[in-house]
Amino acid sequence: MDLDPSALLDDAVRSPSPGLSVRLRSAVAMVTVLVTVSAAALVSARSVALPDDDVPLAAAFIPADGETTVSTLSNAGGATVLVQEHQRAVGFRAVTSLPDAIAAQVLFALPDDDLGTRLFWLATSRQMRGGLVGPQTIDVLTVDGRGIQRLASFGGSVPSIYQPPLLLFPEGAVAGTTWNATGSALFDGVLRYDQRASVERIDDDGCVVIAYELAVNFGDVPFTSQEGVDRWCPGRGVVSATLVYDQGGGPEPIEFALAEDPVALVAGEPRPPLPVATDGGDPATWVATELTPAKRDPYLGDMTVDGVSGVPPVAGSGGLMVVVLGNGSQVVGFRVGEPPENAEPGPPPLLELWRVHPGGNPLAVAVLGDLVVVATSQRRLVAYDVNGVRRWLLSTDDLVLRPPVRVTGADTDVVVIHDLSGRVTALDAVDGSVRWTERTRADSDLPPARLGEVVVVADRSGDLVGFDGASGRRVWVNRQPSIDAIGAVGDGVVVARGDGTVIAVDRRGVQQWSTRVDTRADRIDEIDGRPVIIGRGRVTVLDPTSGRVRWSRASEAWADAWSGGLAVVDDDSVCVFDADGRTVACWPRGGDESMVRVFAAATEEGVWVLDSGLGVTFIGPPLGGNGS
Amino acid sequence: MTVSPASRRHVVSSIVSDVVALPATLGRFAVQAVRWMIIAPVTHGRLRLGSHSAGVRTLAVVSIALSGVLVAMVPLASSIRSASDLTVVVTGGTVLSVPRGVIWVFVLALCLFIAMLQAAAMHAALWFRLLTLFVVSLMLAFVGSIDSQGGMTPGVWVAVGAVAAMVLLEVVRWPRPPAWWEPLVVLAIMVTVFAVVYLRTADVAQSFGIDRAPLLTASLVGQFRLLAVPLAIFAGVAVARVALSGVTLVSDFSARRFSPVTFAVITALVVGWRVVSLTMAWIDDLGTDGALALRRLGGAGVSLGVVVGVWWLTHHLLDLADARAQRPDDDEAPVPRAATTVEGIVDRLDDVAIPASIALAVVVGPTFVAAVGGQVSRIILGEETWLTEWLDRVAEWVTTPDAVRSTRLVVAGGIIAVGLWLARQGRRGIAELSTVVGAVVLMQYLTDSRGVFRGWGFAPQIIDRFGVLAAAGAAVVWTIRRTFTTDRQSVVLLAVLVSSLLGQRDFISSPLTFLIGTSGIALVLFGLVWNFLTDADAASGDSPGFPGESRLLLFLSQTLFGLTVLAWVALSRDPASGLELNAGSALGDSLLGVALLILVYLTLFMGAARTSDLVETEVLAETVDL
Repeated sequence: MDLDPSALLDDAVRSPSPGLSVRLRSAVAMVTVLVTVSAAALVSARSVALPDDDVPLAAAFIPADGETTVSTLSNAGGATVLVQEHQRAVGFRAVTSLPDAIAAQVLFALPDDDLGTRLFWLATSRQMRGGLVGPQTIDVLTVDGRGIQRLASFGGSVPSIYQPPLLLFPEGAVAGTTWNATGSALFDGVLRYDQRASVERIDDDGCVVIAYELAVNFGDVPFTSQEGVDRWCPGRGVVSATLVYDQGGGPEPIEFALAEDPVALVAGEPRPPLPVATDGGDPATWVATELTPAKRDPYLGDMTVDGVSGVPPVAGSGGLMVVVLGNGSQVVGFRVGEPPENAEPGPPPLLELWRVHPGGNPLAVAVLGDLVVVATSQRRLVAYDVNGVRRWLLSTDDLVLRPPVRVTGADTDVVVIHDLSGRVTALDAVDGSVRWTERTRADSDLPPARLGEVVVVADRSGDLVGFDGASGRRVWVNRQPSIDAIGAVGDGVVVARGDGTVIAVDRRGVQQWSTRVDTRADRIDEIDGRPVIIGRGRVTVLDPTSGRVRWSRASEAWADAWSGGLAVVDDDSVCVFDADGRTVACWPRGGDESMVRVFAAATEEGVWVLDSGLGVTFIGPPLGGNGS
Repeated sequence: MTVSPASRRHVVSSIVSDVVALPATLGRFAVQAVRWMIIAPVTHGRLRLGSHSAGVRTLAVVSIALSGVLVAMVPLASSIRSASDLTVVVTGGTVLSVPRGVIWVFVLALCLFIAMLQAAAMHAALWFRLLTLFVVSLMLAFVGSIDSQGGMTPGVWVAVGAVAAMVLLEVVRWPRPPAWWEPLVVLAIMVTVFAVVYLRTADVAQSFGIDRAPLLTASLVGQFRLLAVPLAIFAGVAVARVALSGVTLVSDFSARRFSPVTFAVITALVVGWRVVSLTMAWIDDLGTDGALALRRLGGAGVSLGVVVGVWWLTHHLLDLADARAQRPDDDEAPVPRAATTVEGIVDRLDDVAIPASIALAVVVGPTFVAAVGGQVSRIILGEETWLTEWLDRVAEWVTTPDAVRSTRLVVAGGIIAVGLWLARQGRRGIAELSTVVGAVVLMQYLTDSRGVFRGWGFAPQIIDRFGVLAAAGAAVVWTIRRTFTTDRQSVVLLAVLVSSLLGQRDFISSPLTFLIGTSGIALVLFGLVWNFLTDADAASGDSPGFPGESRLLLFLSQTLFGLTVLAWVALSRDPASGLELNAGSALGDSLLGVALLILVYLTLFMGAARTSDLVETEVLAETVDL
């Protein structure tokens, strides 16, 4: 017998009545499609669900990613302002964001099986009083079926690394729950902890009050002791605490409470002064120094930190170098530091000054005078002072993909952003309040450019619009077929189109000249008043009055210009050129040539070259090393 | 020459009465515009679902609904992004951001697209069946390979199984008539592959804090989008077509609704305004860079000369063909020489534009195979294998400017040759369209940045100056000869408007860009939607090689996929995702659209020169009840 499976299937759904057959077929078809739609929805929902969507209930008590809390901390010496930033991170990404010595201990303290989906809570703390800022401490916590546990704290005089992790908040907390624990508080039991804790009560607002005693001993000798009460509230962490702390000098009462007006409290603290820029001198005398980025801990020494991510690092004045770390969630401020005591002869380290987590992934960073401004994947703009203390934040309509500019004038001091939706927003540089907001015709992924007190933005439809920085008034509009890059040069702006056409527009928005270059521009910089077209594989310097190409050369990896020169990074060398294209000096390039991303950040103080490994080279005046 | 007071009074009273009646006239115009430009084309070219099987009908309905959702997502993209959580993935230096809640729409759309493509081919011509099976297998292999991590994982096995199932289904079902359940089985297979791969890769990626679903979807859209390029090129013609329809209506309506005096004044004003504005632009160009302006004018003149020369040759061949057709029977009364009409050209546009779009995008085929095949090979076999390296080299070569340009040259030569052959057969409309399209492609090839005549430029916005000047010159000559009839005024007005369209066709895409807030996709979005609404008659046909169900599924799958890419671009605000579609649409606009307008222009004047009564006007009057 001739069997045909498809014929069988046809027969199976064929009914005695033709009308029923049609209905049945339609019903089967509709069910199939509904199942398909449901499957697509479920699969997608499951695929985009983050692991912390189904973490233990205790996770509800930790702050959201990127949140900040401002508190007052009072003791016998007076009150200080405590600014904390909170990061929620999952799995290996959290661990790899830590300095290597801490990461190793955290991995050692946790079971392997669920490390990939484990929820971590990293909290950075900074105390301020009257313009003085204390060292930054970092708490590493995790949340699992036991509850919220502290893994490590570092940055203070002595770190804590808990094994087993110190339980701070139990899962399923109910009044009367008690727990006791003992374990190691530092490597191999150098310090040991002894904890007793209980849930005192649960308030009507869902907040949980936990009393605890924690003694840390060095052998049999008491090292520190704490006895206190913490009040945990959903989504906010510890909102108030009273404790008595004894570090050997006798018991000291401390009170801690969240500030009622955190913005005013932080704004009331004086900003640190802008670091003084140093004169780099003649680039011909510069030397290349390979540096190792490190986090210095009084107890643990210098710990290696992660490499640079895909966001271009930014150099500030006074040797400040701001980098988005390779894990893509933290921003670190570095400065060249003194070598550790008794160190081997060699160059000085590049020391971590501070580490911040503005939330999500940082997408663009700018150092604007005494502000470090970070745009994040959470559609936020977060501003820090040069000490890494968060000053203000703004929620934006859409992502900001390029660094903002700061426009200052007689009555103006604003930070201006152009977000992906095309909205242009000017924020007060002091408190982050919105001064004005406008919109361009289409979306934009280009940075604003500053022309005195006018800010110029370009959108993807090719519109080039000048806004008055103080009022937001639209001063002029210049329409181009498209714009791929924009930069302020001299008294005007220079824009480049995807086909290599470069156009100069003056401060009135009138086109001055048009020319063509042999590259598709990524950025437009300025060297001694001349436009520098930095493109894929080539840099071209133009005449500022005619647009004629003055000189051009290949650029294999990256290029960056400052007012006095142009640094070009090739695969095996870094060269500095003057405005006329003369080679000032070249240095062989260190670092790993195989690294995908290489950046240069050039200022008058010197040129930083960073790659996505750990390679950092500073080309500038000789650095004071240790016997080097 | 003196004008009597009575004539003067008549002139003034005619104009005054037309001005008084202007609001009513504008109202009538609006009604006519809706009827002529929207209702009539949609009625004529709308999609007809017909009496297909339950499976096909269900997929068609879901596909149309999903297409509607995707179209709506484009203008609503800003609101959707604002209201949703964004999932943001930073890879290297690029940022991908998509509203988390709408990913499922794209997963469904991709599943449906591949399923409909495969189902469409199952009972079509053998070559199309084999080609589609190969393409779908490649797509499934790519989806499966994402789960590979260098080995045979469940995702890869499911993809291999799906390909085997497709082959089996083809073998078992091919000789039989289409069964209602076939498209549903294909859809179920696709969903299985997608579900396994998405779920497996999500688990791995999440431990590193990465949202894998948007990255995966972006990767699929990015790899498959090449398949929508022919459709995008064809979509690019829509603006020229709609604009032509609009200016034809304006010219004809004005000629019929206003008094001859008022119409003459309107014609004079429009022609005068265009002459003055183009002169001012010309003076401005000369002041900015005189040498460049002269070079561009010369280049445009030469380019136009070549196009007109090819058209003239075609026309000559057509006349010869007409003459040949009359010769055998000298006793009969001479047949009047046929004239090509604007409507005849527009009617035959698809016959040229669709094959030309596919031909212009021919490089997409090997690019897709090499790029997707290379990715599959890289993921499963590794970087260093000869297959991966060979496919990479092919992908690199076929996308080089020289390779792309070479195809243009071949396409131009081929279309011109076919056009001349058609002219010898006396096939009016399609013959001129073919040769003029070929000539425009050829001139673009010769004058682009790598062409022999680079720097001269084939610039439609310069060519329009010749068009306006020629129209103005003709108006002057006819006025002097006192033969500037209303019909000829209508031709001049229409010619000026058509030539203006050569340099200015962004009156549709510019407002759309403002509306949707995303630059670059307005042209292709308009083209896709317009073609879906007005150009679906081919999908309703039937033939042994392409039965009705195949046509319907193919048409809907292509539209769905094109809209999927556009919605992805809008929601992710990532123009790079739709780069090829935008470029394709611009290519269709600049080559096919410009060729259409030039040909219409030439046809208008040829008609006016040959006869005093324009065929065009009669055709319009018959088509639209003015």
